[in-house]
Amino acid sequence: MKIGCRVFLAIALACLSIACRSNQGSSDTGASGPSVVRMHLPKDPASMSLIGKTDLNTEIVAMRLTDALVQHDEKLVIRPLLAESFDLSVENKTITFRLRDNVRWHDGEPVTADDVLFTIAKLREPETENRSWAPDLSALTSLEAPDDRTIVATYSEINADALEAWRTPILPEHIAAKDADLFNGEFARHPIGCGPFKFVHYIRGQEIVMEANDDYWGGRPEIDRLEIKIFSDQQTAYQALMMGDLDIMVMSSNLWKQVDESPQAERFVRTSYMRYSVWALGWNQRESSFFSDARVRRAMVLALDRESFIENVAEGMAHIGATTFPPSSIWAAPDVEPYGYDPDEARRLLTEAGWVDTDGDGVRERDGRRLAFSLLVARGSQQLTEWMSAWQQQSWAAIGAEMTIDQLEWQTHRERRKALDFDVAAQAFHITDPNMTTLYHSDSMQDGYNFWGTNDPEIDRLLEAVRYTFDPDERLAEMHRLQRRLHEQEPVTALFFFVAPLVYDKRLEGVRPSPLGYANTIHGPREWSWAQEASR
Amino acid sequence: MWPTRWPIHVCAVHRPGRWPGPLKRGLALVGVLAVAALAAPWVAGDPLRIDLTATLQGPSAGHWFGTDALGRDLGSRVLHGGRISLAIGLLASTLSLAIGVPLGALAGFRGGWTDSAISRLIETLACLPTLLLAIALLAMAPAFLNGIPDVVRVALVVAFSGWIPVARYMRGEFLRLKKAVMIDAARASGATDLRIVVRHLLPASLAPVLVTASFAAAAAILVEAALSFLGLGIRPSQPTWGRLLSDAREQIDQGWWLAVLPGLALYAAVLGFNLIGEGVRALLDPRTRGA
Amino acid sequence: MLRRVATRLATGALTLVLVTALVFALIQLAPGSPLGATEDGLKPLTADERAALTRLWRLDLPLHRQYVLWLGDVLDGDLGRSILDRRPVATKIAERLPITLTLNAIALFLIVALSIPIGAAAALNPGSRADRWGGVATYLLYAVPVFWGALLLQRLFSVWLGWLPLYGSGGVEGIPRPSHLVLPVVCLSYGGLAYVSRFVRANLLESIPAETVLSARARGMSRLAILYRHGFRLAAVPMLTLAGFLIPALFAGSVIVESVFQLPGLGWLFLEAAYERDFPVLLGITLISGTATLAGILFADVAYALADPRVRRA
Repeated sequence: MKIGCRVFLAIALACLSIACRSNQGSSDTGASGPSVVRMHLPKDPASMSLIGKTDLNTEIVAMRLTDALVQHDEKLVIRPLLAESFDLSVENKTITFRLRDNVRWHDGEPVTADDVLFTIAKLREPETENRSWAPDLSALTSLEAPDDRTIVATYSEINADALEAWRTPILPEHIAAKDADLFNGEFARHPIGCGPFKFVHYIRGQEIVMEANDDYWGGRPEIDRLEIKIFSDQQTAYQALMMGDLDIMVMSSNLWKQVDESPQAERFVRTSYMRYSVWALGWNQRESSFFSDARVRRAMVLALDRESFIENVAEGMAHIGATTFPPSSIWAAPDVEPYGYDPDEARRLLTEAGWVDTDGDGVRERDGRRLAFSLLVARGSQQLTEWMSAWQQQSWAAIGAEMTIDQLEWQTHRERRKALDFDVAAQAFHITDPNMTTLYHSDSMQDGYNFWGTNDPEIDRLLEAVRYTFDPDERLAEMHRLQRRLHEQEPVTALFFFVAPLVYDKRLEGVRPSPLGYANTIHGPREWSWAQEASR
Repeated sequence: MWPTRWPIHVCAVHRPGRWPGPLKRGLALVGVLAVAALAAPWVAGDPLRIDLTATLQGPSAGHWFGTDALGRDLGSRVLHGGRISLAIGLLASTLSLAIGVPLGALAGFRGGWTDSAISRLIETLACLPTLLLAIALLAMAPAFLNGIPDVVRVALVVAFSGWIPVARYMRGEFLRLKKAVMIDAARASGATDLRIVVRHLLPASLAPVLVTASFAAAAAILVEAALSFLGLGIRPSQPTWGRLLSDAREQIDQGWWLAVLPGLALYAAVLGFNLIGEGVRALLDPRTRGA
Repeated sequence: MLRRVATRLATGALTLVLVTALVFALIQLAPGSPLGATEDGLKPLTADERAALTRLWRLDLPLHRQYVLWLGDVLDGDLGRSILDRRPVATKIAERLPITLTLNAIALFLIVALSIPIGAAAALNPGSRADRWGGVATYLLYAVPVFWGALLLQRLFSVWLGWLPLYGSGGVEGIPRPSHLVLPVVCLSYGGLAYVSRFVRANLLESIPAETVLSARARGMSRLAILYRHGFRLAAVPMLTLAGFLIPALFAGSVIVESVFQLPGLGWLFLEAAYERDFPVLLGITLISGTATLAGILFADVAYALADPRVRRA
């Protein structure tokens, strides 16, 4: 036993000592180095080309490196950024932008209207796979630059949200135009922009590092370096935060509680902000489906005790929605109240709609058909999704409906939705503007996102009204009317709007969270700074 | 994942005529689990019943195993989960035997080209680690197995990745048996081949089949649990042991009962079947008798 | 004997081709066009985009041509492009390979380094109480499912004691911190350690006949010396046959361990590719693990043939 024992003990002791030593963390990177802020992303951006394969992550990166002509502020109002002014003409169906003077790319070349023309042309190419703005530019008939600083965009038809598409980052033509393949070319390897930060390096799966742009037209950012760490797992990111490798982080609700209980709680500010992300149920409303009757849809919502779920399972980190208009947004109609929890009313509605349990098996029938349907859910990395599905299943069983869960990976989920092969589909939507046409308009059944088959002339009319009313007050009134109608008809049930818990180092100043995130608006990291003596 | 043949007879010595210790313990474990699983619908509550006012409570009088994040009784989930896990495990191992025993026996008995061809097939599939093969199958072929109930679908996949060790083992056993029986046949004059097969080979192969059946059951239960744990098993509404452990993983900092208790049940099942396999092998293998 | 080795390698190559063909066929049988993977957010693909992407991924060619083309690419070092992010599969694999190799190398080292002394120590006093209890303990340890063991270890060492980190590689420059590798390596290796140490013990006991031991003891040799003299030489050879088992076991273990501990390695990439139906990545990793396993089996067979005196004569 001697040799074996000794060897084993030696190795065990060695391992333990290494482990304990390196667990102390590395919270000091040097007392008087450059000031660095570390934030995190849950996964790599799909592309570093800044306009290709756009998703939330690419936007966060792109917004740091290069500016757009206009951008949202924290109330989601469009404000000029790279453009010093813009003018939307309804009669002429044009938008005219005037570029700021003396803005330069990171390599010193001046930013001109040609760059804008190039960028727009590029992102409208199908290979670029720009999902965020290209579709909204489909009505663009011409784009001209009468001089170096003016851009005139002419549309075949213009609507009140036309400016949204101009939040696209602008690329330098003199560099990006030389790449045959934007995704894998020189530009994607080293993106050059005109934004507050300059690209330093990108290690896939690890980090994206940027440094401050001294010549930024809006003033140099206070911090010297911005490092975006990529942690695909919350726990890992949380530990990095605790060890000082991250300075700011959005986390799940039970991690947020853990911060409080951790011995390092005083180092951090704990706050939360409402996100315009909604977990919604899309009811297949076609004739032959279970949910063509609005009463059935309303019954389903009434059977869910949402408040209790929020309190007991989601740690209070969510709000109930009445429609897909976020309740905390400026567009929300104050008189539209979400449905509460009323299972008796739900049962009454089902009976009224003709669904009755005749054979006593606990499931209602109508014309020989059982109220047994399936919920289409995408396989998610969040445990919460599974809990929601299980909770729905049980709640509906209590009112006589049998639900099975079809949990599929994203791709199949999308395909089945497109093929209209579902009864009800659950998914998250990220709302960035009040234009809900693609979700509800009857025309969107073919080309849009209206997989549920909503076909209500009143909703169509109101959607068009919202889209083409330019006077802000009138537009708001139309939005309210739309919400009332949506609430009545309940084509899509907005179950929960999630609140994002945010934790960041106390010494970090200038953090202004918005429904789009803490780094996604015209503000964001360019306004962050460390309190005087704490430069890291 | 590891070879199922433990490299030392677990019951090296036992008295002839009595069952080896491990066999008894194995049967006890599996027996208790089987009875509990069968009795679940009558003994345990509804595994799906959500009670949002009683979430994440520890073991108590009302809930012997505690509750999970949705207030569901963990004990009844473990028991009902046992039904499904054991059912899939047994179904899958039966299918594995149905494929593996004939193929392995054929290869061992016939030899020559048949053996080469089957051995090639076995080797090809053996290059893909069991779990990887099962994951790939489950993820890649949901649709052409779509009309079938979930349990059967998962069992088929587990069986497909599990028949290889069975075939290998049976091939080895038949090679051995062939030699043993040939000697007898040579001695017994005038006996036809068929008689040899029926009178000698089949009864002699009963023991190996029982042994490999137990190990196959253990492996099948383990693979199914791994697949459920990784989120690839049966539909999420049904609890299985693997899924319960996967739930526990999300809440690793919450109740200990979430991780420990379902795992214990799984462990008991796997250990039980493994012990039965070892025990049967010792019991029926003449080499370990006495001495 | 050289002929035997050559034949073995030839059949091995045949098997490899069969492996890739099999996996390719399986994946093609699955429904679901890879085109679905690029739809994002609220705006679906147009017909133009769809046609361009179909050409890009050779989806319009017949199956056997796709396979042959793919095989040609592989031999060139091109494993295709991932459907998810259009990056070369080989690159994605190369990025994730270091962590998997590190974990498995450490695990393998631990298994071999620790199981030999442990097995030898157990062989010194066969039948003693310590030996029997040791046997029971290793058997029980071996039967613990990897993912359960991982959860228990996490609970004990991370949550309760706070000694070790819970997840992730903790790496700042892409190099994982040692403390983050402790639990994953333990999970990967405990099964192997239990198995191989018993294997060593059994082999040592079998290869040294009882009479030799008795006569050596009679001459005054300590048990340890006997082991050195006779045992290790003879036991080393059968240990090589384990290579064929260790490699697939470690791969399968990697999938679970990397997934539970959130380490960005090949196993986790495989799982992600399975979830997202990323066929090229799935195929690529299968090819690699199949090749590695086959290499291990062949190595074991050839080494056994070379070393075993009985076979050498044949």
